[in-house]
Amino acid sequence: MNSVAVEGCNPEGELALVVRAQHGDLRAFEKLYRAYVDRIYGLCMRLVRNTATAEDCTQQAFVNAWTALPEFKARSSFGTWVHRIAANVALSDRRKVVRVSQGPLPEQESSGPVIFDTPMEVHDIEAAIQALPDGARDVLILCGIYGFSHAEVATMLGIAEGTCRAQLHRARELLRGRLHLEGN
Amino acid sequence: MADSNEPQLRQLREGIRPSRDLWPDIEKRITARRSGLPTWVRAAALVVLAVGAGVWIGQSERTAKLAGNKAEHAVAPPIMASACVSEAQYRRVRTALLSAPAGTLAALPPESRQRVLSSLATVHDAVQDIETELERDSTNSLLQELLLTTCQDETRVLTEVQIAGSAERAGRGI
Repeated sequence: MNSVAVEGCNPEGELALVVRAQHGDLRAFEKLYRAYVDRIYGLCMRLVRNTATAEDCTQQAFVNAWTALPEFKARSSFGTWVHRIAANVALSDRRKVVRVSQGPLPEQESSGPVIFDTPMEVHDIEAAIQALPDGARDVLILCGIYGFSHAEVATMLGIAEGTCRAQLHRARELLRGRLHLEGN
Repeated sequence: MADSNEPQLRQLREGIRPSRDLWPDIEKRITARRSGLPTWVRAAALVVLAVGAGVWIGQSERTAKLAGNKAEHAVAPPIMASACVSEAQYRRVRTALLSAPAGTLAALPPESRQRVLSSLATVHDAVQDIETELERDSTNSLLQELLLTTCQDETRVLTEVQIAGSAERAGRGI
């Protein structure tokens, strides 16, 4: 993931917090949590589209991060790493829902549109993304918004890398069309 | 889209604030999971307990029941005094102790035998825990030292058991 360079805190300060957390300092880990929780929750929310499930996934992501922290080698930033964990948790949770219900993903938790607490200038884009077909939306969220590589997203979603590229292209086309129409 | 809306897409990355603070639940789960101490510290505590029990059993067998038995000195293998034995040497001694006559443990009273076996199992588990941690962090000198000490302690327990068993047999005139 080359561009999920998340600016949670300054790199040196972040690394110090990570090292302290690796030695069992829960307060240091809490600081890392506070730096990234909004972004992690945003990612989970966009993938699962249910506030309660997104909260569960966010919590699980941080618990998993704490557990795996001794293996974190700082080859990427902590933010990048925890985003990857969160994406896998959210997608895994969604797969469980599909297995249990044996049906398609729940589109939304209520009949109304999902409202994200993001600035108004991006609200239209947010709504347009939510209206995309599942596959295209997932790829757009992971590649387009969070900057995961096609290879990573293909692995996360269990699809071929070529399919991932095609889905991203499709998502962008659909989004462009929708935003263009709304603009008129 | 790729050109005009890409910066706006990136803006979405800024995040969404959850409706409640998720940290208290996370902290609770983390605390429950690690139950206060890292695995290797728990392993160390188990080793101390196990060795304490093993040594206590060995000494009580010798002093309370078999004090003054001359056969003790004749059959007792030396306790490893060196803190730095080679692995080959350690394994040789350990194998010899483990493959000692079945009568060594059998000679102990059932209650003591059960406690010794339980202590040895605990030491064995502790060694495995430390080795698992060392696989993750092979350069951790504290873990390396702990492993060495644990192995020595295991040897010491085995030795004490053998002393007690031999003395018991000698006391019975076996």
